[in-house]
Order: sequence, then structure tokens, then C-alpha cells
Amino acid sequence: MSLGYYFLLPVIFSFLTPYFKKLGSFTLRGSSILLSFILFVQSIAYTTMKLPQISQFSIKPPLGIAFVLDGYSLLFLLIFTFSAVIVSFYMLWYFKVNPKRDEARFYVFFNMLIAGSIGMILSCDIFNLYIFFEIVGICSYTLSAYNKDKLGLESGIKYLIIGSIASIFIVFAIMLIYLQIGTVNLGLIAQRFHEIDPKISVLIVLMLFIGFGTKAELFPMNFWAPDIYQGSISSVNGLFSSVVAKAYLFVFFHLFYLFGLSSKYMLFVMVIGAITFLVSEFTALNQTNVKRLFAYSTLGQLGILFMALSTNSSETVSGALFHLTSHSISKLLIFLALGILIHHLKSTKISIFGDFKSRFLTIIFAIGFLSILGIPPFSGFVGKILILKGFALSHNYSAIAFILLVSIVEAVYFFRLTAMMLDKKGTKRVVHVGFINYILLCVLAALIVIFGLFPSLLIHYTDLAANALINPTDYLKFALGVGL
Amino acid sequence: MIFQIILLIMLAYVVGFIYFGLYRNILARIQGRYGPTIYQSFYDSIKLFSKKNTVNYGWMFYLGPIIMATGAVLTLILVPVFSDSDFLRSATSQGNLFVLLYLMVLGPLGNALAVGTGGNPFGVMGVVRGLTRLIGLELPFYIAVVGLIIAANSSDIVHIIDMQKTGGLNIINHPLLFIAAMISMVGFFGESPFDIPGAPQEVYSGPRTEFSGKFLALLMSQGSLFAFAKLVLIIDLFLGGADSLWMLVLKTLAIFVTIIFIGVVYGRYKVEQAVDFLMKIPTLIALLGLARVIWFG
Amino acid sequence: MNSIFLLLNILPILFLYQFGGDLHVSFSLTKDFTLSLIQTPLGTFFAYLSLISFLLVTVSQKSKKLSCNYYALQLLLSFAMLIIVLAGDFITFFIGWEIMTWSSYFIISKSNNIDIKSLQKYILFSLASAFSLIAAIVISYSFANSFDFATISASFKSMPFDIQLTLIILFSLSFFTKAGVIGLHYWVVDTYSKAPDLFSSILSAVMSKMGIYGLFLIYGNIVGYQELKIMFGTILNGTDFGYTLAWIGVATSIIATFKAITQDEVKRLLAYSSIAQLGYIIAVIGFGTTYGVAGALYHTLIHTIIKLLLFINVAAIIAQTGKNRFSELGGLIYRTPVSFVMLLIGIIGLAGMPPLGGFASKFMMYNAAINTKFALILIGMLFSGAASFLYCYKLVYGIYLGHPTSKGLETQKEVPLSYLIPQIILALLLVLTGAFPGAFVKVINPILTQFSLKALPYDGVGIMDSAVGNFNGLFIMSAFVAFFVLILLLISRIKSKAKNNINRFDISYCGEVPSKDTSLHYGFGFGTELHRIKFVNAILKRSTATFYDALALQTKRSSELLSRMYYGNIHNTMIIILLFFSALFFIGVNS
Repeated sequence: MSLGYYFLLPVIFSFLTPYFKKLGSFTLRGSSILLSFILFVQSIAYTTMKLPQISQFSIKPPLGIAFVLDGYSLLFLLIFTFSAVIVSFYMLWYFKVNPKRDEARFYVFFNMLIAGSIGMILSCDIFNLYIFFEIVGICSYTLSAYNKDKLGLESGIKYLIIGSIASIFIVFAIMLIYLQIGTVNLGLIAQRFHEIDPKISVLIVLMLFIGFGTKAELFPMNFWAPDIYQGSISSVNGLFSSVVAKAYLFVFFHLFYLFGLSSKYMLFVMVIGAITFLVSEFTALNQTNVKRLFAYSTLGQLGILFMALSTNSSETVSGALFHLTSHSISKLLIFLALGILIHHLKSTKISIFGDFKSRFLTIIFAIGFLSILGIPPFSGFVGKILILKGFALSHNYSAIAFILLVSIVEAVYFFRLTAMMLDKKGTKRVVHVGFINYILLCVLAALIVIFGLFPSLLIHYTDLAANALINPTDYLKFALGVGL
Repeated sequence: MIFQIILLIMLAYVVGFIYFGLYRNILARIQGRYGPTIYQSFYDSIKLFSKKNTVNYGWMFYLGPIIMATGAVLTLILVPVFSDSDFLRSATSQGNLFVLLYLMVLGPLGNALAVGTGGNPFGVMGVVRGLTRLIGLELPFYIAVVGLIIAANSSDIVHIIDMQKTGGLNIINHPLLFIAAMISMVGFFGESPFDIPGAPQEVYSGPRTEFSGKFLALLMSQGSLFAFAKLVLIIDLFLGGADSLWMLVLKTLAIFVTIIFIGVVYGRYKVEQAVDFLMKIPTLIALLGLARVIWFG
Repeated sequence: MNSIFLLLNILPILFLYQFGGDLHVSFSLTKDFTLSLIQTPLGTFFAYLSLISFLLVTVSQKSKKLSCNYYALQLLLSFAMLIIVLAGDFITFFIGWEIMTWSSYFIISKSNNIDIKSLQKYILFSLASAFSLIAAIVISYSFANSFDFATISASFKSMPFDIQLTLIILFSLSFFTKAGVIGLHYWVVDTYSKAPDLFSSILSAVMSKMGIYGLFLIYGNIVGYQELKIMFGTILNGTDFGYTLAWIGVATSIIATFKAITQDEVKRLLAYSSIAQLGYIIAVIGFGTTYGVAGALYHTLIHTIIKLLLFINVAAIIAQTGKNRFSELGGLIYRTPVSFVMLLIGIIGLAGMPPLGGFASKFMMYNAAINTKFALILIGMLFSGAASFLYCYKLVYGIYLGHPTSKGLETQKEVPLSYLIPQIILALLLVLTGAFPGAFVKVINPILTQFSLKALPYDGVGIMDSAVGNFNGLFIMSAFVAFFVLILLLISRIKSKAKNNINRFDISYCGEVPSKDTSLHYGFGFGTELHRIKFVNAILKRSTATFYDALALQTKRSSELLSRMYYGNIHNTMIIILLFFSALFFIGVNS
């Protein structure tokens, strides 16, 4: 399938959703599953093809619109479509136990969110990128307000306001780029970025940093994030954590490396990432709401990723991408399992972890927690050790010490939850997971274990991605239309 | 060898009891009394062996004194009695100073087990006080012994004795270590001021409370054997051992009388006072002696 | 269930035996990581130690109705330990280490009296240990470009001194935490006392030994004792490094001994005693001499045997009576006589008295200290040994001797056979190691060769030989037995009537007759005198809990402080974003 149609598919499905609704909820749900399945299968098919792939619309780039898929975007494509498959299956359960919810409203924005995210990572001109940025944004606002209660609406509004601010910065940045270079094609911008007056280029970089950094939940622009997680339903939390935040992060580093920024910026991003990690993990210790807790944990993990991705060494970046993948899977696992728990216990207090009785869920949570903490033999370990190894090779020992020390703080709350689950005292309510969820959680847990035991399955792709990210020459060739 | 062992035990038995009688006499004279005959302890022991037990608390109570006696006999045969002769040398060469240090505690442990079985709280109190006191007593003694071992670079007692033949007596070479060891010895002999574990007025004679008849007799006998073994150990370590029976009696008597004289002039320390004291002055003396050994040979 | 897992526990032993020292497997995880298993003499020693311990504990678990996943986790733990001791590179080692951490965590969480705080303590210290380990591993990787033990060891010499020092400190901290060196032992006591009763024996006897294995691996294999000598210089006849480590070990041993005496809970006492005994091992492990290494290894063996024996014994008593405090137990000697004898053998070994194996290992360690002329270290060890008699006696008295403190204890039955069988085996081992201390020389010598140290002299199976003195374990054992029997016979010939099986209140009690309400069991009063001794009180009244509680409090406070930023006011968030942008812009344009 050509890349252009690839991303158009969810858009079309999204527009067709109202008609599917008329055909009954079975069609509606089925269509979403079908769509995500097609997307996932196709993204797997891309792994066998030669990269980069390009798809252009009538005019050759750099003048026309084009979509480019390189190793870097392929990894994210796999993560996103996989998450979509899982979430769309999960929603079967969700709508079964919540029959009165408006299904169409969810699926429209869900499909659109996937479309937007895919567009964001594929599009190779900055203006299109902005459009997809907005699409993802709008879908996220509405999805986070899917619960039409006080918290849901609050989170929707907050997200909207913050999203708009971020958009303003990005629009200004794009405008400045266009004024300076006269193009919106990423390839051309990358080629000629150094020609811009340094003072203007600082401004551009800063605006992009603030814009994408706000959306990618970097400290100190992430004070809104936990509220959003708190207000939305768990599956959406999972999407935010493993798709949306990752998409912004993708763009952040894509531009970062394309523009060939100096090491000063890299150090800056690393420090900001470290602070994000530190602050989030410490804040998470003090949470009483599970959703906020895992929101902070997500922020913290993003902090590590920012630290590791800004190192410009393919070893560390590959490790970071491994960690990113593993984190996406683990967080999806945690949020989906959490959704089941919240549904049964009707509470989002931390104490729900001590109130349920289900050996399956306990094991699932434990696997998720251990993986995020980077404990072997789970996938998080490989990611973490690759990152640490990368830092060690560049003799950045303070980063190693920092990550490990803060990880202990992280372990405090993860193991507090584990201990609550394992605690035998108190009254416990039996939680029935449901057949679909059982399968889904098993798949996710199995992936965590498999990637932990056989990391070479994934490392192949993360290496590819890391090389594509750090040496974007192939990408540039295609983005400029030279290779066509 | 078996003959020698029997001979040695008999010797220790006789000497130990006579020394004990002597002790009672000296104590009496200092307190202005006449005191019993010097053989009184013999008579007591023989009488007790023939008397019936008041009570029996089961097999552990029975075995405890026997373990203690075994410990005493074992200690005795592992200490070289004569420095130059081959008397029991084949036995003494099987052990070393560390074996002795620990064997000296094995016996009391057996006794402690029996006391515990008896279930008399005073007895156990005595045992616990004894063990607590041991913390303090062992410290200066260990330092002294370690000093000697380091000086001789061997934990073999025969070797330490041989060293003294050529290099001069340890009491002259290491007087500080000797003083520290002697202060500990006062405690090991159950003398004032370190006699709290068996204090009749406070813990009802402590560990011996429940024993009677042949067990008490056995405890007394092993006490005299053990006392002799300890005296021989001291003269081996500091006075170059004894080459003849007369020297043996002379030297052990000298040490024993010194200990008694120290003992009789002091009142009784509480257990914590005893440990506090032992951890201060004797330990300091011993450490000075040890420093001398390490830094000045 | 039990028999299946018993079989599964035997299999790795057979497997290891079959390979007989030639195991060498490697498995490529990714292009960077190759997992490899190599069998070294040191690893084999620890492997057998842990596997046999697991086997014995599984035997004693027969009478407990344990679930399948308990056994499975325990098997996983044993597997993880096998990985640790057979690992040929640090990634394998670390994977084993972490699997060990979490599988033991889940087993501990299955205990009935565990609470969240203790679990947290355990896992956080374990993770801190693991993180310190991984930090050291990646730092050494950055110089050696490999995780392989051999490669890292080869490139260690060329590292700068501060890196060498950092590595040694990080590795040591990690393994010290596992072994429970004082200061890092905060988790040990709570975990050991609250874990499932039989599992405590694994924790104390085997898992703490993994820390010891790690120390051997680092000091002996990776850094090498020769290199340590060159790095740190010498003092007296030993190395500066060994001296520092020895002080750490001796301090651990002395402090833990005194803490042990004052405990009321049986397993807490054993936990402290375990810390103290490991203190001895740590004291001599850094000497880098033949006797130091031999003593540490020998004591590792002996301590494993003793702690298995004691913990199984205590677990049986707790299972039988449901009580775990000295103040609630007592007087069980004639109800559970076999258990009593087993415990007695255990504590004689623990106290290090001849003629049992405990003495042989202590003797080796003392010899090591004499050899290096570390007199104060030797005195410290002897001193701690003298103090340990108190807790040994408390252990046997508090449970078996004295008076029963409640009605139920007077009608207690002997513990089930499944508990007794492993105890009897272990007690026999203790007797055998005492009688034949020389036999162990043959086990140690290949390990000494592995560390390129001189081998121990071998003079026969009964004799433990060293440069500064030797003793004949067989002679002492047989003399002891002979005299014991002889005196017993003599005494029993003396007929003296005594009334047996008397009322337990029939004791000399200052002329009075104690009533049923009189508290006669002195067990819980033990150790109170120690508070009145200034030096001991100085140790007893201090606790690392103060430090760690303060640390936890400060973390909580800073967490509260930081979480105030996230109070959800969207205006302020916007203002912060704008201010942040302006500040960055200002800085960016001006530089």
C-alpha cells in the first residue's frame, strides 16, 4: 500500500464512522478493529521493504507534498498501530461493560488520532506536520473529555488551552522558517538551516522546543499533564502515554537531528530531561490517585528518553528507542489493566491496589512494573542497560548515577503498589478480567517477556531507527526528491 | 598415654583440691578466722559423691556436669604440663591455644545447659551474669594471648614455651600483657571483685543452686581440675612452663596465691561495673602491651 | 507437590555433577550481549552450597501445605542463584542477580506476618544493591568494551586509579548490602524475621552468600588479590585494603552480636547472628592471603550449615507452637528432645567451639589474622565470639530450657520428621567438618589456585594445618567423646537415689515456693544487663533506623514540596511556559 493511502485510510474510516453507527454497533466496533489491523499488518509489511519509502502527490518534492518512511518512523509506526490494535480490542470490553456510552464519538476521534499520529511521523514537510499536529491535538482534547463529568471536561479544556499555546509557538516557528528559507520542506530546511541568522535560529529552535516540549510533557511545561490523565478514561490514558506523547517526542527529535543542532542544545535537552525525570518521580511518590501516579511515571520515563535521545550516539539512541518501545507496551498494559480495576472498584484511589483479588491481574501489574523499572528478564531491562551502556561509552557517569538514583525513588512507589497487591490483609474483591482483556493483557505481557529474553528481535529495528535518526542522509535524499 | 592421662588427672585433682583448701585457709586468716583443714575440700567432695540427690530434672540436667567435666579434662590434657619432657606431648601437640581458649568455655556451656534445664531463675541469672562478665574478662585476656601469639608467630603453646627458653620469659618481655592476663585470671577463678555469677547473697550461689549430691561433687572436682589447667596455662604462657614437678608446684602456687591475694582485698563488683572496669584499665594495659609487641617486636 | 519439586531440586545437582567442571555454554542475546556460563572452582563450590541447601529446605517444606507457585518461585530462585555463580560475564550475573531479587521478594510476600514496610525495605535495599552493581558493570564496560569477566579483569589494570577505586566501592557496596554489613543491614533483620519461616533459612544461609560470592568474584577474580596489593599498598603483613575491609567486618560482627543478644523474637536474633557471622567472613575476605581466603570459604560453608540447621529448627518450633518469641516459649526440652539436640549442636557450632566444625573455620580465620599480624582484628573477632556465647545460650535457653510460659507448651509433641531429617543431616555435617577439618582443604585448594594463591598444606583428613599452628580435629573429637562416655559411665556407677519427674515448681527459691503465677522463665530478661554497660549501651541505643527514617522523611517532604507545583492551575502553567520561553530566549540570544 502506498504511504499516502496508508495514512488516509484511518481518515476515511473516521469520516465513515457515523454511517457505520447506523449499521449497528457491531459494524462500528468491527470497522475500528479491522482498520487498526490493516494498519498494523501493513506496517509489518513495511518492515520487509527497502527503506526509506516515499509517496508523493502529483508534484515531486521538495515542492510537492510527500510522505517518507524511514527506519526511525517505521519503529514508531509499529508501536502506534500495535497500540491501536490493542486499544480497539480493549474497547470491545469497555463498551460491553459501559453500554450507554456514545461509541461513535469515541471511534471518530480514535481513528482520527491514529491518522494524525501516523501523519505526523510520516509527513516530510513542516506545514503538513503542523496540520497533523493539530489533528492529533483536537482528537486528544475531545478524547480526554470523553467522560462528560467535571474532571473530564476540565481536562479537555485544559488540554485545549495548552495545546493552543503550543500551536502558537509552532506556527510562529514555521512562519519564521518560511520567512528565512522560503520553504516548508524538511529536507530543504535541514540543508539550509545553518544559513539562518543565529539569533533567529535560536528563536526558531526555542519556539519549536517550547511547542513540542509542551506537548511532549517536558518540565517545566508539563504541569497540565497529570490533570489530563486524571480526567480521561484508561484506554485513552494508554493512548496518550504510548502513542500521543511518543508522536510528539518523535517530531521533537526528528527536527532536532535534522537541523543538526549543536552540542549545547543537546546538553540543554539532556538537563531538561533529567529534571523532568527527577521532578516527576519525586512527585509521583506523593500521589493518591492512581491515574495521576502513572501519569507522573510516564513523565519520568519521557524524561529518561529525552536524556538518552539527545546524546547523538547511535548506541544510546538505539537503547532509548528500545526503552521507548518497551515503555509503550508496559504503560499500555498498566493502563488497560488499571481500567479493568477502576471499572470494578469504582475508585481511582491508590488503595484499590490493596482491594482487589485476582492473581492474573497481580501478575500482569507486576510484569508491567518490573519492566518499567528495568529489571531482568523483562524488556525494560534491555532498554535501560543499553541506555546506561551508551552513557558509559561516552563516559557520562553522572548521567548513569542520576538515572540509577532516581530509579530507586521510582521503585518506591511501584513496589508500594506491588506490596499492596500482595498484602493478604483486608477485604478483597474478586475482579473478573473478561476474556478479551485476558488475551490482550497476555499478549502484552508476553511481548514484554519475549523482548526481554530475545531482545535481538527488536534491537534490529531500534538500530535501524537510531541510524536513520542520527544520520538522516537517506531521509534527506528522499525528502528532497533526489532519489526519485 | 592413657597411664599418663590418669596420672595427670590425679595430680591435678590433688593439687587443685589442696590449693582450694589453701585458699580457704588464707581467706580465713585474712578475715581473722582459723578456717577448715587444708583437706576439707577433699572431704566435702567424697561426702558429696556418696550423698543422694535432692532432685533430678531429666537427662540434660544429668549430662550438663558431665560435659563440664569433659571440658575440664580435655583442657587439662591439651595444656603442656612439663616444658622439657615428652609427658603427654602426643596429646598436647594435637591442639593449640585457640582450641584451649574455646574449650575453656565449652565446659561452662554444658553446665549452663543443665542449669537451664533445672529451671531455677537464680541459676540462669548466674549463668547470664557469668556470660556477660565473660565479655569483659575475655577482652584483656584475648589481647594478652594474641600479643603472645603474634610475638611467637604461632598459636602452638609448646612453641611459645620454647621461645621463652631462648628469648627470656614472657613475664619479663611482656609485663603489661602479663598484668592484663592476671587481672582476667582473677575473674576466671571466680574471685572478687569479679565473682558476681556465683554470689551466694545475690543470685543464691548462681549456677550451682540446683545441684546436689554427686553432681555437686563432680562440679567441685572438675573445678579443681580446671583451676589447675588454667594455672598451668598461665605459667606456660608467661613463666616458660615447668621442667620439673617442683617447679610446677612452685610456679602455679605463686600465681594462685597472687590471684587469691588480689581477690580477698576487693569487694564485689556488679556485673556492669565489672565489665566496665575490665574494658577500661586492663584492656588499656593490654593494648599498650600489644602495641609494644607489634611495633617493637 | 513436594516430591515433584524435590525431584526438580535434585536435577540441577546431578546436572552439575555430570558436567564435572567443564560447563561452558554461551548464548547470544544481542550483538552486544552474550550470556555465558562458565564453571569455575569457586562457582562450583557456591553452586553446590546453594543447591543442596535448597534441597534440604524443600525436604523440610513437606509438612507445610505450600502452593505450586511458591515452589515454582523457589525453584526460580535456586535457578537464579545457579546463574549467578556460574555466570561468565556481568550481564548474566546481573540477570541472575535481579531474578533472585524479585523471585525472593514474591516468596517473602507470601508470608503471613509480612507488612508493606518490611517488603519495601527489602526490595529497595535489594534494588539499591542491584543498581550499584549495574553502575559498576557499565563503568567497567566503558573501559573494557566487554562484559566478560576475563576481559574486564584484563583491562582493570589499565584503568585510572579513581575509576578502579569507584568500581571497587560500587561493587563492594552492592555485595555488602546483600551480605548485610552494618549500616546497610537495615533490611536484613525485618526481612529475615518476617519472611516465611523456612524461607528465612534460604535468605540467611544462601542468599547472603551470594553477596560473599560477589565479593570473592570482585576481589579474587576481577581485580585480583595481587592487584589489590599493588593498588593500595601494605600495612603490617597484609594490605591496606584488607585492613580496611577487616575493620568493616569486625565492626559488623561486634555490633550485630550485641544487637542479637537483646532481641526477643527468635528469628530476629538469628538474623542479627547471621549478620555477625558474615561480618567474620568479610573481615578476612580482603586479606588476599591463602588463610584469609580459606577461612572465608570455610566459614561460608559452616555458616550455611549452621544457619540452615537453626532456621529450620526454629521454623519447626514456630510451626508447632505458633509462637515466635522467647518470652512466649520455653521448657520444650523434654517435649521435643530431638529438636533440642539439633539446636544444641547448631549453637555449639555457631559459638565456634571445638569439637564441631564451627571451630575449624574460626581457627582458619584467626590464623589468617595472625599471619598478617592484624592483632586488633583478631581481638575483635575473638571478642565478638565471646559475646556471641550469650545469644547462643539465649537461643537454647529461651526455647528449650527454663519453664514453659503457657499451658500449650507443656503438652507439645515432637516436630514432624520432615523437619528433623534435614536437621539431622546438617548436624552430622557439622560433626564431620569438626572431626575432619582437613577434608575441606581439597575443596579449597582449586579455588586458591584460581586466585593464584598458594595452596593449603594437607596433612591428613583430621588435621587442619597452617603455618602458625595446627590442630587435630579427629583427636579432639574422639577425646571429647571418649572422656564424655568415660565420665558418664563413672558417674552412673555412683548410685544415688533421686526423685525424677518432679513438679517443676520444686526448686530452690529462697525458701519460698513459687506459685503458678510466678514468672520463672528468665528468657525475655536476657540482655537487659547489657544496657547498663556503657560501651555496649552505646552500641545498643544507636540504630541505622534513625538515619534511614530521616532519609525517608526527607524524601517524602521533598516529594510533597515538588508535588505542590502540580496543583492544576492552568493560568500559572501558561505563565510558566511563557516565562520559561522568555528566559531561554534571553539566555539563548545573549550567548
